[in-house]
Amino acid sequence: MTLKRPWTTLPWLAVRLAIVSLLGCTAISDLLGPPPVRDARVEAVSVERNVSGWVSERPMPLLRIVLSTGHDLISYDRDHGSSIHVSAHPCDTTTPDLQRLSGSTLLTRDAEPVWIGRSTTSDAAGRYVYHLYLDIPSRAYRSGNGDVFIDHDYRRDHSDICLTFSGGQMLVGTHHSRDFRISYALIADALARAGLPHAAPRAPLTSGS
Amino acid sequence: MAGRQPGRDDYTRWVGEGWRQATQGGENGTAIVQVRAYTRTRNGRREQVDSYTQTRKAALQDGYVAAPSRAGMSMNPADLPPIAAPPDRVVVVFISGAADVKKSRRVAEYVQDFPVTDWRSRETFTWDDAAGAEAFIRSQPPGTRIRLVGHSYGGDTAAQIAADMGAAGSPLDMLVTIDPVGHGTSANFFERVHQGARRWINVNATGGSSSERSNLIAGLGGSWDYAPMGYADEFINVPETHIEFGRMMEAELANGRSIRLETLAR
Repeated sequence: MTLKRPWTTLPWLAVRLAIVSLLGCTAISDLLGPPPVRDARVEAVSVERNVSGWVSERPMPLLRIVLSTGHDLISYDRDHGSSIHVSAHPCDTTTPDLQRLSGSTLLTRDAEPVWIGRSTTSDAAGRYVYHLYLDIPSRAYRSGNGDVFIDHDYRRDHSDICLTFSGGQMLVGTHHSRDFRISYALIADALARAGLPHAAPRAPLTSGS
Repeated sequence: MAGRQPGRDDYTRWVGEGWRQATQGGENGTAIVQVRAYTRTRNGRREQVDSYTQTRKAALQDGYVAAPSRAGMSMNPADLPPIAAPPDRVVVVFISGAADVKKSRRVAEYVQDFPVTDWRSRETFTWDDAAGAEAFIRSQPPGTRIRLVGHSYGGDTAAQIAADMGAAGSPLDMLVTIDPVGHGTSANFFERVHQGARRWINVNATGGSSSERSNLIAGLGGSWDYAPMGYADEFINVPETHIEFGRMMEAELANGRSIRLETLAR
């Protein structure tokens, strides 16, 4: 015997309820949480020496990524009560959430973290500019929150870099953007302009420390 | 409070030998530290750590070198005596709160950009891994100055660890509790926490209303509010909401320096 209306059976009802619940939770989370940053754009890549302020004390020159977005991230952080960070990972990695590179704090043009957020201004096009600094050689590191940071050296590892904006609040509401790709050609050009030696590429490494 | 983890003694010996090599140097002034692969437990999870080699001379010239090596370990650490740390070595240990892991990540992301040098390192643990954090602290070479920073529930965990370390006769160099949350506090407990650190800085978040999202959660969890006053060496109110870990680390102390700078100091 076959059922003419299988969707009326209990298992099917349970599946529908689960789908509705999932959509409901997502909708509520989206309503209560901040919107994801979707319009970020890479404006420039350069190598900076003797960086002062928040990212001082780094022993090496740093890779500076200049980003712009239509969001005022200081207001985003303060008004929504939601953190906002940028994670970076090689685009060709298979587990981006678990293989991160150093750096996550977005800085304003005045080199202060957005969570300090004293002031911010947009340009004529209404876009806000932020800086992210990445260690050129980064050391493998495991954070207590499950992140695994890989050994990586931009001089030898020639993969494109992907950035992701993410963060959240304490109770509900998280946000996660799509990846923003930085072509390795931009990075190689920045290294060359800074006179940093370029090495032959090597196979990706994932060792811990 | 914390039980010792399997393999912790071996790990301690390996680290001790690493420090001996790093501080004494080798041929042509270069110290090579080779650490073989090992398994450890952190935050309740087992992790496999690959072997690696670190060269101190290159590290000074190039930021650091951490070239993975599968060749194994060239030392026999089993018979080595405990090695004292260099006198100015600082380890800053962060303990994040309950909502930090999957939600706000205020502490986790803050730590990523916390500067590390050849004499200062950092570690992160979650609020529910007091055993792991305490085992890590106890594994540091004698003379290492431990600065323990905890936020929210992580502040409560940090205070418990400090109390344990004080009871063991090894008080922390500094304890920083950022708007701590937790039940079961008492005058006796706070007195033990006070004895557990040479300097205890407590921050009380006073910004926003009690119905503000993070303040509400902290209140439900059992915010310490003014309870540590009189026990902490420095008790400061900061007009920020509970979630703002980074901003509270920028709070100015009586000496005019921020908490962050005090944890960074040599």
